[in-house]
Amino acid sequence: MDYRPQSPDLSSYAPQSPDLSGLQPRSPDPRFRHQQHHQHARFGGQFGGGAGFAGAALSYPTSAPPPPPPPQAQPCDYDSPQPGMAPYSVKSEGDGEYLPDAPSAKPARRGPAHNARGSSSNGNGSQALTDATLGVQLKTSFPVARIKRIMQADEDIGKVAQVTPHAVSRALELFMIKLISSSAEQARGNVAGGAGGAKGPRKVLPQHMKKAIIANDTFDFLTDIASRVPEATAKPAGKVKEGSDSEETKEVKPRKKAGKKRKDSGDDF
Amino acid sequence: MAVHSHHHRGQSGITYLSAAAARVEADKRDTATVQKIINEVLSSPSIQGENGATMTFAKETRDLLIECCVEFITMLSSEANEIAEKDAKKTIACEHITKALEELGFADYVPELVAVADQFKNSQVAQSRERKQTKIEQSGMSNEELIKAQEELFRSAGEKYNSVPS
Repeated sequence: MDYRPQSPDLSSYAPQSPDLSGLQPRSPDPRFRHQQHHQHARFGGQFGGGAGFAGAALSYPTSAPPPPPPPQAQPCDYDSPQPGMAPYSVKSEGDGEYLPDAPSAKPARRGPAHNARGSSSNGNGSQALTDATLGVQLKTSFPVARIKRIMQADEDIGKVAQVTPHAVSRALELFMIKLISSSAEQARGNVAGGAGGAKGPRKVLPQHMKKAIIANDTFDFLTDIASRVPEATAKPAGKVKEGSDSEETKEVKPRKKAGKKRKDSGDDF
Repeated sequence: MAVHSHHHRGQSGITYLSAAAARVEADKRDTATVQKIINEVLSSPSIQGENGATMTFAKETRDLLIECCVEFITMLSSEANEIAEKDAKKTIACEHITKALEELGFADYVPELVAVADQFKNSQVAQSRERKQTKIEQSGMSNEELIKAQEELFRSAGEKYNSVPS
């Protein structure tokens, strides 16, 4: 097939703002243009949303055809953190896992690390937005020997090719990234009701991870493990020793640093 | 520590126990690695909250994470093993892993794994193996000739050894 990407003939493009009525943006048009310039600098990827944007031609992904995309392709990631932008994360990854209403869904899409991975610019056929790394570049990984050992702890497992533990290691990294970030999202989501007015570093608790496990289909195999996490109906500001107040609702007084295990179940501070 | 989950199909009780034992034993070394990974993820710009606050993991959460990791490895291996068996292969290869990931709903991991496999092919380990193989092939001798040559070497080495006064 003779594919010759030519600069799109913009003369036929009336440089009008795209019809965003369906998207309920909080910001007026001029903001879009402004952010558009930011986009150029970092090329967010699925950029087809260029129609109507001045200079959009510059940012076409190399193998994407020029014609104007349907309106729903408009919402691209923006790097300025605008809470009103949250609806745009609907499009973000093309997999159903992002919760459009959570502003925290957005952070996973932005960030130069995402661009640096290059996954968005070379994955033209596939959505290219399913960046399994979520923009994280890990330097540490599980030792391969350890992985092999865990694999072969299972007597059913026979021989394992040399490359295989390396592959499993990579899969594990991606899994961890997902689980860690989902748990952190849960922890962040509770800030509104968080105890102790904890500004600054928030602690991710087992309960948050449990929620993340329940919320994600691919984590179904972890439900057994998750079920052993005690439910903390009180805002988890303090460490709760498992079994000490499993059933009752503890009203935990806000404690800044919950580094110690609580030996008694008394609820006085 | 960890109760082995339901996932293993057709596992005997013995396997259950040995899997649990193997897991508990080396856990201490895991925490350092896992903590590093946690830190890297939580401080990554694409993960941080809008206010830029960095989250931290409680100790229990980290332990929970380790359990989940072991479970992930175990489940993935088990699935891949079945796929390899259906493929009439005794060794679990990378493609069995990728198929297993697809089965388990982690198809989006596959491209990354393919990249790992490619890297491995070009790595030291694979290449030195490759070279050893080639060296044997290039010696120009058949297997029988090679075996004979080896026996000859052993013999002459033995003679030298025996002739030295001990």
